Amino acid sequence: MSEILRVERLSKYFSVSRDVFGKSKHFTPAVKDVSFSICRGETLGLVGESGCGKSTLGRMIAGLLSPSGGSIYFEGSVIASAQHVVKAKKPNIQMVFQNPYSSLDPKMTLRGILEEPLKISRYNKEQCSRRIDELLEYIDFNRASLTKRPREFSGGQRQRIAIARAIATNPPFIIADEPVSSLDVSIQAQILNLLLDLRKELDLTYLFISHDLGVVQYISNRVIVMYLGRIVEMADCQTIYKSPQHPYTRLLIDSVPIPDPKHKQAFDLSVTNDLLMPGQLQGCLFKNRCPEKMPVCCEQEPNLVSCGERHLVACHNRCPENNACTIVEI
Amino acid sequence: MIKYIFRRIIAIPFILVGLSVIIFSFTLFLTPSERVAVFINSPDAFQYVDVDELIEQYGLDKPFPVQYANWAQGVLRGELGWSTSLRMPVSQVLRQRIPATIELMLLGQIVIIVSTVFLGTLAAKKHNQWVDNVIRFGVTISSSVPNFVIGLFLLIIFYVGLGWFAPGRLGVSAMDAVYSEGYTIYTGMHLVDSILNWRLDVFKDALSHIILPTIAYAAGPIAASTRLMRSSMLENMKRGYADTARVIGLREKTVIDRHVRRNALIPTVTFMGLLVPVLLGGSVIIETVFNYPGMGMFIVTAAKGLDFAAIIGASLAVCLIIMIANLAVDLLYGVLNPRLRQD
Amino acid sequence: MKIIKKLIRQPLSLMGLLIILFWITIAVFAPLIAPPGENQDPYMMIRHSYSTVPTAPSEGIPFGTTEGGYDIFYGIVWGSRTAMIVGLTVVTLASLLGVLIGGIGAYAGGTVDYVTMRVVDLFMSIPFLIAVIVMTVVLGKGLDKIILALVVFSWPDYARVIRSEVLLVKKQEYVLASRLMGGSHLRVFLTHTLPNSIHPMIVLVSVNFGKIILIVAAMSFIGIGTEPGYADWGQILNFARNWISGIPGEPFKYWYTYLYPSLAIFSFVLGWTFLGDSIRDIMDG
Ligand SMILES: Nc1ncnc2c1ncn2[C@@H]1O[C@H](COP(=O)(O)OP(=O)(O)OP(=O)(O)O)[C@@H](O)[C@H]1O
Ligand SMILES: [Mg+2]
Repeated sequence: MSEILRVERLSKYFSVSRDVFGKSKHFTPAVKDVSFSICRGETLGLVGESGCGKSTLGRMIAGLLSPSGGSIYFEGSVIASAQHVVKAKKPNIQMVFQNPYSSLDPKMTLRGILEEPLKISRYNKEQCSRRIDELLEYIDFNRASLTKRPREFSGGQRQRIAIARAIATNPPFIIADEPVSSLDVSIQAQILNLLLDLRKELDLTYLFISHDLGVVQYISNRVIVMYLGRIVEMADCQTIYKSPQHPYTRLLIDSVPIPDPKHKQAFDLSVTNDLLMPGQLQGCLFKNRCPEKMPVCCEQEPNLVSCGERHLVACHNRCPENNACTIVEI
Repeated sequence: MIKYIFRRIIAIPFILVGLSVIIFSFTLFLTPSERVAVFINSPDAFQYVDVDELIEQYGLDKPFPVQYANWAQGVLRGELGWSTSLRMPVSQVLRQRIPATIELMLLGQIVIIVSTVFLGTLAAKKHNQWVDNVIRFGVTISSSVPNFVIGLFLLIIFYVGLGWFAPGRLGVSAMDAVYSEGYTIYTGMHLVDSILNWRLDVFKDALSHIILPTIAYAAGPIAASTRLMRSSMLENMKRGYADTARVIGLREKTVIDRHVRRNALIPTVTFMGLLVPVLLGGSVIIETVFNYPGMGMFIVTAAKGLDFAAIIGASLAVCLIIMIANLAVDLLYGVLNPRLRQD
Repeated sequence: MKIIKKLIRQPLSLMGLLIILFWITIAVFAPLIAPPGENQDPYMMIRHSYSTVPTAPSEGIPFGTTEGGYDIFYGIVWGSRTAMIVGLTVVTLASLLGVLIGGIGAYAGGTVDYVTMRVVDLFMSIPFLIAVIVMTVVLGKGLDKIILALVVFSWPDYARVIRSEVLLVKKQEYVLASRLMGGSHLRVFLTHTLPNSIHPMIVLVSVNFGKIILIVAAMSFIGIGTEPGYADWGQILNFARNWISGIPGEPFKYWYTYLYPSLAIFSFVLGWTFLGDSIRDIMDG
């Protein structure tokens, strides 16, 4: 399988407060030193709790945010590096957003929404209408809906429209940023199946972002677990569920099968905020919540190391100093 | 909060420079000989020197930045030019006129805040009863009557019809008293000075002159701020703390007077701050209608007489007054809302 | 369309609409209601004499004449045109300018936004009326000069309102999506950002329309602005200023010189206030 996207030591810092003269005083890393690659046709799941930097990572790859450091390669060429986004010649990477209520322009009709990417890519009138018919077929809408506006559609329908818009110009790569987390469970399956069908039919590659491991398991080949801007574990889907290595991943998996959607938020976020305090940043960031904490965890940040076939983890417990673990160089 | 005030104070000189550039750039529309007046500070210069020489002397044929620098230097020394319409230095006119306008504005603000608190509380207490409806209707009507129409009709009714009040600022005898020996001018505001000198006849005369302009001046703003006060009272009456106060057994009157009103005043105070430029703008009209010699009338006289030194000096003074007033409102805001003080 | 239905259902806004419609009718049919003389600039009031003393209403001169022999009825009818023209031009130009400057500043963000907002602050720290008076005087007499001065000092209001709206809209995901498709900034700004942030401008425009007319009337009233004799309500009221005290024994002898123009200005502004307030209530609620 050939590599389609590669991310190298990508970081993003946001300034949190400003002083009297409007200069940034200190920064919080939303994404730090993240490296991975995705192969064509693969679906890479990205999980982590709210605020861990998933959307930030996704938006950097899409070119909506410029990275603070590191670089992103698409089909071998740089598309973004520190403080710089290369202007794409073709819209190769498209996104499906979390909130279908704000991702469609309320002032536009369905036709306008679907036409927009086509017009920007200079399709002529005839091509446009042919493509719109195809798109409607993919998402199972009839032509009569073309004159309706977003507020006349349900959440699930809107999300299907957003997906149709994303694939309109045949991009090879789609970033889906929590595409189902604002929908009812029954509709979630519908959308996930649509994504799966489209992947098969159009040979798409997905970066699928979610805070819900169950959803990620359903759709992904490989999974990255993020915690406070860092990758803590990365492995094939089965491996992660069968033998999770990082204590955080285990916590996530233990919290999955709760049927009530209101209870999905397994951790209280106050801990997350505490950790962002300066001074707490030393050592492993998970130390305060870790059941297996060791003295070394407070002093040194663990590296991402290999602990099995195609399986990386960042935890001192999985990689004692004397063990012959290899630090992975990407 | 302190940081915020500090930032505001730092900003003042920058704003003044910006404003003075905008205002001074108006002179670019004038010919150098018209511009001369902006630079002259005593009548002698006018009478004995050739205008061309003056143009040379003040560098009026030089580029804009040079002229601006020359002028700004003079301004920093308190020289604002020669007013051709009033035939005296602009700085001297300002010394007389600024207190007059501030007196009118302060009295106006007092009238506004008192009637706002009274009417707003009344309307909120009697929510949806006929008192409330009458107040609301009156407020809508009076906010659409232009202040010069109000002023004109006040004059017609109380001056022409009833003969109670007169236009101007002081009657002849009071004027004599003010300029007589033994009468010290402390602030230039007649109402304050007459009390300090204990001349109640002057006080009465000054009051009878200032009362009509104050009403005309305040009518529109009273309408707007009563509306604001009423809705923010209603909102605060619905809040939790009002209920808590009621539950622990405070009487309704105490709840409203002590708790609700204090909180409802915050947006009103902000509004009072925003009102300062509006009132100063309105003084142009009101002072002209009532022949009240303040900054507003000065600006009109100057504008009609194409007296540019006066226009520029007066505009700068007005802007400075506004900035000081805004700062005062910020401080008052901090007093009313203790939460802001800590940050 | 829904808005219009709601406006008609409320008594206050209906009254506002009716008043405005009344004045629009007068303005449109001005040449029929008060036909100008031949070879005469219709916007200059008809003069029946050059006498300084006003004359009472009589046959053919329904509202009488004011100082200088000007026909008050004619001035009020054609003054409605002046009011409409000034209001429309100023509000249109100022809102366009404000939307462009404020909208682009907010969309671009960063330094551009900072600079435009400081300029807006600067303009707004000068009292509007004084600024407009000063600029009009510098430019000289005439309606076009007033319009220019009003536009120069009223766009910041619109810029500030549109800015806060654009700041919200530009973070919306449909705007990001459009960028992702490769849409240029100009395209995104024009097709998504502007249409979705233009809403509050409607309120501001309707409230400001009356305000602008007030300012113009106030300026003519103190004798700054249009040429003498121009059909303009403020100016008719200005002519009346010398006559409000009547003559000894008959204090209200010249009532027609100030009553009619006052009523015209008052009703016009009242109409716009009713309408603006109702639109605001509907939009907010
Ligand atoms: N524009 C911004 N300015 C400042 N901080 C930001 C900005 N965007 C995101 N952040 C911060 O960066 C961190 C990561 O945010 P991000 O939106 O990427 O999280 P997320 O994993 O997508 O969360 P969620 O599941 O809630 O969508 C958060 O702490 C957030 O507060
Ligand atoms: Mg997110």
